[in-house]
Amino acid sequence: MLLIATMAPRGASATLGGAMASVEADQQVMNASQQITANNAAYTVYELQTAAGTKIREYVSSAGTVFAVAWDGPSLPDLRQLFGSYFAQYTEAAAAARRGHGHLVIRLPELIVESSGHMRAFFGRAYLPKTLPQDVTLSDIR
Amino acid sequence: MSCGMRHKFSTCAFAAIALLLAGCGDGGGGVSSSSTASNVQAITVEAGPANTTNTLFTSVTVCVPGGSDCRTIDHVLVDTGSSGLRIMASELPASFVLPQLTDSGGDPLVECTQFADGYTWGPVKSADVKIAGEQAAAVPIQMIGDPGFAAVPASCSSTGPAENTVAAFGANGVLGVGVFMQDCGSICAVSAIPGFYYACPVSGCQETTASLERQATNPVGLFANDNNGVIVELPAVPDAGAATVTGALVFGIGTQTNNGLGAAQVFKVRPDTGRFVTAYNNQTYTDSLLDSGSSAYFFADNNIAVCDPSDPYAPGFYCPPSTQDLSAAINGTNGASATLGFSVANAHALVNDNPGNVAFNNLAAPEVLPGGFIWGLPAFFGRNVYTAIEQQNTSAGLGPYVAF
Repeated sequence: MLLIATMAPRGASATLGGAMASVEADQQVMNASQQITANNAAYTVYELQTAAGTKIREYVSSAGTVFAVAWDGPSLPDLRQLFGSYFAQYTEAAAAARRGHGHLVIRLPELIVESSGHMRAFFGRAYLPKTLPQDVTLSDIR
Repeated sequence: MSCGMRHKFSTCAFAAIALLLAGCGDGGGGVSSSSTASNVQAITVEAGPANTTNTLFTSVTVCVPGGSDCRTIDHVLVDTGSSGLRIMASELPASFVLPQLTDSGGDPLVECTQFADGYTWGPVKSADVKIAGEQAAAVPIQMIGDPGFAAVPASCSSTGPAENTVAAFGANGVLGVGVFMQDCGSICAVSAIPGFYYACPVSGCQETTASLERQATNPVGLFANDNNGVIVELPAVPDAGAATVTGALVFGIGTQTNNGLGAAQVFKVRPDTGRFVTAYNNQTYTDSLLDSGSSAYFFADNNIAVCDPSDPYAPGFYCPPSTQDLSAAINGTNGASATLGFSVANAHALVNDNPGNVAFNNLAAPEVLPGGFIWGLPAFFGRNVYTAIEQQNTSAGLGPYVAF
């Protein structure tokens, strides 16, 4: 794990499944601060922190694609922004897969979402199983 | 809260009977030895309006503040994992109008309530809340799906799918009787955070701050008496489950002859998150919760088989070949510790072999939160579980704590 300096916004668009530049777009939309918290041969982790105190970690492959996001904190993040083109799939699948308000698990061929917690303490992660870089294990995404 | 498992066989007839029974009064009656006391409310685990498993319900009466115009809503979830009363607007007649609360700028205050699986949206209204013989005046409650505020701001709908109907939410409302007084707390009082409180003039909604006294509030903390917490009392259920289980929601801790702590052990919880520590399989889980609104035990154990994600009865729940008898230790922040035994049955077989049963003490599923170990409703069967509200004095000191 490396801790590197805060990056300046660059401005761009896209998110989960999108290009690396989408991290800056997320940062701007969510008015969040950002730093790199991990950087290795397989991927780089960009951590954003929203004004509400929720931390969002975006996992960018060495090829420059966001393949996973994870969050924890007192409020849910802007999932429409983080999930991008996958958000509609997510909400549709979530409505059909309810298991109680404290937990949600979505398993689609292209998208896995796991969400847990209550107001004041949420945790979740989403990833694109078909784009996971080699050498990345699910326990790395948290 | 509630459960995604749907039943193989129709329970419409059963549900209709349950609804009739629930409609017979304001829920004061007849389940425990102390049921005639004014601080005891009947609670029931049954299929309910959305045909769910391990969902704990009660009835709640709301009244126009200071008046006698009241309505009783049945099949409201009893949730020790959240705080505040939320009622589906669809369960009240349009003619029943509660006063709208405003933000500090005088605009209507509307709330986006976040859950892990979606959100509810609706105005914050003021109501007198009556449960059993207890009463709280002018409680801020959320009216979910109120047609007066139909347009949901993007920063609210961006948190997940909408749960603004009985079918989507799984109940006619939720009675949050957790350790907190307000749902959001001080962070919403000082910051206008996306996805929480909104000021909604006719021109549209904007994020706003909401002072503590305007936030949706745990009604118990505002009761005139017995206001320092609750006890959820549920009898044990057989290993094959039960179709209906009745118990008692007792208000107050150590305030009456029927709500003393007795031999119960007190586990203080973190004041910011309401969580405590559970130790299981030589691992420590720091985000642990006793949550009547969770339908199962949720914890991680890679050695227990999981039902197929497409299982029609229990997708993604634990499905061990045979029932596992396990134990874990609850550790309060006050150093108190207790080891609890619990069982994990094959969820597919449990539901498939016991049609009509919706109350199970041995239902479990994997937890995705790395530090999470959720003691859901199964842990409440056969116990009296105390939940003490933050900053309220009790015979065992200030809340927040849980005890059993």
